Amino acid sequence: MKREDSMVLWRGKRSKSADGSGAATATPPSSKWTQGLRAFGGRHQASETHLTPLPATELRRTVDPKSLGFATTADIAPIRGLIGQDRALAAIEFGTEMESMDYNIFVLGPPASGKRTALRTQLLEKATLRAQPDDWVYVYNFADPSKPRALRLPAGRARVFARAMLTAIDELRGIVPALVEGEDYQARRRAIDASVHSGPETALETLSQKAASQNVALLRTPQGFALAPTHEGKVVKPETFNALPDTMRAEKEAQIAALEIELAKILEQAPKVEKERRTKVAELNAELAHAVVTASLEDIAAAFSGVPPVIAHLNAAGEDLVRNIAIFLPSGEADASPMREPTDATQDRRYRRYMVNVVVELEGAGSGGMLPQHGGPVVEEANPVYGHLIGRIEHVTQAGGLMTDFLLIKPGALHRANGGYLMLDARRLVQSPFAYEALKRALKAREIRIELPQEATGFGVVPQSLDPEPIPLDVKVILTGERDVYYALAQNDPDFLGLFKVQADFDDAIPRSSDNDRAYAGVIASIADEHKLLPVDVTGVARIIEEGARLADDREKISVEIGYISDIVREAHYWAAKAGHAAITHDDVETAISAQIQRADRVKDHAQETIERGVILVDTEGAKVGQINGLAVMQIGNFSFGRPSRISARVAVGHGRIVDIEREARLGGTSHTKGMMILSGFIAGRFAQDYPLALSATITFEQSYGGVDGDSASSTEIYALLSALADVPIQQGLAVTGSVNQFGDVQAIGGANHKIEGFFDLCEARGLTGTQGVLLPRANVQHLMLREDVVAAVAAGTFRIFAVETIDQGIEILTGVAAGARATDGTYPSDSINGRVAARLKDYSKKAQAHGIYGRDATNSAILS
Amino acid sequence: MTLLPRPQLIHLAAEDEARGRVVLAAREGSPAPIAIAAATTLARAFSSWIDAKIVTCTESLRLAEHHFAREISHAGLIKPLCVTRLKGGQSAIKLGTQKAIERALQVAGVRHTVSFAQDGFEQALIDACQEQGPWNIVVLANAIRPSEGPWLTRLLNDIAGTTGIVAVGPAITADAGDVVILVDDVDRLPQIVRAAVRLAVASKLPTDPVPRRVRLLLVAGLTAETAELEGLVRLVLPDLVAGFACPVDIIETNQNHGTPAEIAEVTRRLKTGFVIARVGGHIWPKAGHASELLSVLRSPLLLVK
Repeated sequence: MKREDSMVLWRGKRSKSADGSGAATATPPSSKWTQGLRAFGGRHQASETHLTPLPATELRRTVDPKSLGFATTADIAPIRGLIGQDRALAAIEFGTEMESMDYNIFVLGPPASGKRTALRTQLLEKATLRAQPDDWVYVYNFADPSKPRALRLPAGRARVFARAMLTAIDELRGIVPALVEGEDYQARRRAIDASVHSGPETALETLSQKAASQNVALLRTPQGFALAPTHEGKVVKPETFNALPDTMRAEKEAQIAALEIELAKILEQAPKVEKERRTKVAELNAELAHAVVTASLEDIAAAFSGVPPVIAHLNAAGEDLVRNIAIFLPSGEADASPMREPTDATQDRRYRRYMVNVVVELEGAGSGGMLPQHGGPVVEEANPVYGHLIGRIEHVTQAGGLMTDFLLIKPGALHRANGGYLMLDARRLVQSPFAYEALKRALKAREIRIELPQEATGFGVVPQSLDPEPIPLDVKVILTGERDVYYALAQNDPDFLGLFKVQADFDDAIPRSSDNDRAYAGVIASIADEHKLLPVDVTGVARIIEEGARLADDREKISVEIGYISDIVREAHYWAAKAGHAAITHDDVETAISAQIQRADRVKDHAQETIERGVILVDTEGAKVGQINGLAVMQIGNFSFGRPSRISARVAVGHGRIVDIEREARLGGTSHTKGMMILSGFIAGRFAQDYPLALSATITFEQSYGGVDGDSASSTEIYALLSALADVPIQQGLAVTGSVNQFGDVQAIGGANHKIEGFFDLCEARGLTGTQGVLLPRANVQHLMLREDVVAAVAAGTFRIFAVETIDQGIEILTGVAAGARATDGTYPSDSINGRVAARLKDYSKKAQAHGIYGRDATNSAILS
Repeated sequence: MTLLPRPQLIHLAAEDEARGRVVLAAREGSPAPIAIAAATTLARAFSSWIDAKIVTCTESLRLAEHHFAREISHAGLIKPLCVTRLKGGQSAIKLGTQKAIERALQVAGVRHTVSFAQDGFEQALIDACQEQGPWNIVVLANAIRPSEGPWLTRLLNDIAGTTGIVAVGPAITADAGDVVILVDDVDRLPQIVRAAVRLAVASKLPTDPVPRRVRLLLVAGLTAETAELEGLVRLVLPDLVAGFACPVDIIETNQNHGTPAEIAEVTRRLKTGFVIARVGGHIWPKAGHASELLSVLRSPLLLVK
């Protein structure tokens, strides 16, 4: 329930209440109470057996500081980790030691229970037993650039390899231009150019001279050459040429034709000559390149001689370098300029393919990674989105398009955790699109395949990307989460239980015992130690243990919500330091708890104020028919408090219908509706055996506008209805909580402490009269861990708490009138509540018959809605 | 070898001279960007402008009128010479050349005009250089093939109105760097050095951290001759070190015997942007040519008459 005016009638999850002071002592029943009952119903028969309120000793289980056996937490050994979680810890141990990829672990339990810290500690211990994982790098695939290759290197060697390649390329950047600029290379290059070029050029020049000697000119045309007859250096005009004698013309044409054939042969040779030149230059370059590349890479090859994949990559890189040695030459003025900034080889796209992308290395497991001194990594990924988990291929914008290469492959948590353990928050994992499915794929395939989510799912536009070689996966995944996440996954995902076969279920609370009390003190000591706080003295420890029990909503247990306990200890340290205490005392803890409540209870104060000022009508004195005080728990964030609420019932002749006004107004939850139906079943079963139930009743939570859920008011509603039918008033100084079954047995509810304290606060504000109190199910007595001021009031006889087992017990307490036992003939004593109710219902039945009300609907007369 | 400068001073842009121009001459075929850059450097150096001449060969059109006219493609195929295709090709080349030149000159921010001629290339240049004066430097926009050495010499001799010709060879790659003067005599050396200094100053880029230099590369057959030449150089250029707007020095090399390959290698290592040589010495004899040098040089070559 989020709204302030909504009520939860069952137990609230987390309680934070301030206790008053005063010791709990046994106390006799109040004489005022008995007097009150007699005053109302002198003519009624009171029950003698169930009117005894609970003694104060039943209301709170305290810790005797002396029983703890130390002065302050400085005297005891801190306990780091969990206490009383043997089952869960054994499961984790089993899961971590099972060498199988499908025995992953789901750690389920309440938040802030310290399970993650304990898990981390245990995993770090286990990780030391695992072999140290190898390093992994991605390198360029010279055979297929779209599929970068993954290389496995011995631990700690990846970064060495990457640096060595960078150094080699930097060396080549300096050496190759110097060699090419050198005299030796240039001389050989000139020799090639000269030998090759001189051929056609000389032939062309010779031909030109030969043509000129024959008065023929070599002309350039847009597509080649032409040969023309000349006279005095000018091309002869056609009319002049045609005027020549035939023999002369024929001779010239023949000369030209012969020269043309000669020229054609020369030109035909040109491409071959150019090809020859290129070949010779390439051979020269290869010779030079092979020498320098070999010299640059041979040290790396020697250093990694025991790693065949690296050697294979070096061979491929070397061949590629020899082929492309020209990339190390200046490409123009910009390269040659002294103003040119020296660039990192990794930033120059010409050299990127020779770089090494280290994705996994020994030195630190990366973000979220923890490495034990030896062994495998323990990685906790706080934000398990797809890319952070599986790794991602980043892109850069280039010329308006998205481009990528193998250096833009980024590792994910699976890479960092490979060979060790990976901790993930289950809720965040399943809330991250594609992440959970990708994790399952990786676990099933036992490899990490980095791909874009679009590729993995088949949806969306896939930009030009890579298909990196998958990396074998050997990891134990540990999911942590609340129980609802575990059960949702188990129910909805058919793969889940197959992959996460180990369930480590952490309890919310552990049993209360002297041993566990001392262990709890050890945990408190570790909190003080870890946060460098003042030691907690034994009174403070006792008070914290009691608060732990209250947090568990069960005096027989202690909550293991270590996060909350840690908050209390740290805040108590603040108050202790402020007061100048040498250790955290009971009072400091008390102050911390009170202050914490005070910071959060504005709404509670406001709610109580509205009741005190009569805006919300709740009586705490007197007696009224058909009206009773119910108790609800309001939960706002992580703060809960009890609030009384008036419930009223009205009855009339009708069709046998009990109207739940909350439900009709769509303000009732399903549990509340169920409680109402059970109530109807109880009434019908008890009173409608011999005549139809000609009842029309309405029941409602007065002044409730925000919705009601839970069935803890079902007994309260029965009391109101019985009061209305019996026309016997209910003491308004009492409030009631408890669910009921169809036989009238009162059943346990949640939030008993908050509910009682809520009504107590109201009564105390108006003045305790001694007639006030609360009825709760007897089954809830074991959960009572009431505030010390409530216990003190009970001890003083100014407030009382009744534990009831049946409706009959409860109605007797509330009305002071005996419920009345059913006789063998099915009747009840006429003065009893049951007798009066039966008489009223019989009367209704007659009236209904007289008016023909249920005659129309006789078969459904007892069907209650 | 002469000891003193000859009295016949070629007009090579005196300091206060600003009335000459640069003739950028283009034939069929793509103009070399480095040649155009050289033209703009010259124009800036001498506060001049560029007269771009695009010359179409009409002789090939005249040839095409003959019934036996054929064309031999660069791949060696012989086919009839079609007038229509020839004209179309020439027109396309002319237009492409015009655009390339105009675009480059506009980017360089140099004042220029573009005109066309249809006579023979040499005649077009002769006419152009006779139109205006008092000095002209002709920049040949197309790379010179080694076989065109004699033609280049003929061009130098025939174009009376030019003071120098800039040519680029097929190995051309460098368009920025120091100015290297190939010195085989001290004849006209002071004027050449002054012109080189102006070129060096004009070719300096804003991003260059140091000024461009003028380097004198002594080209002699023997070591003894080189030493003697250096002495003469220092004699005619007493203010060699500090008397110019940019550093001027003499390159000392023991292995330079003046072969084209050696010159090309030295100028390459010096990161040369411009090479200046005198016509009439043994580098480029008046009657002969040095097409071999042009074919291996990586920088534009300014031949000073």
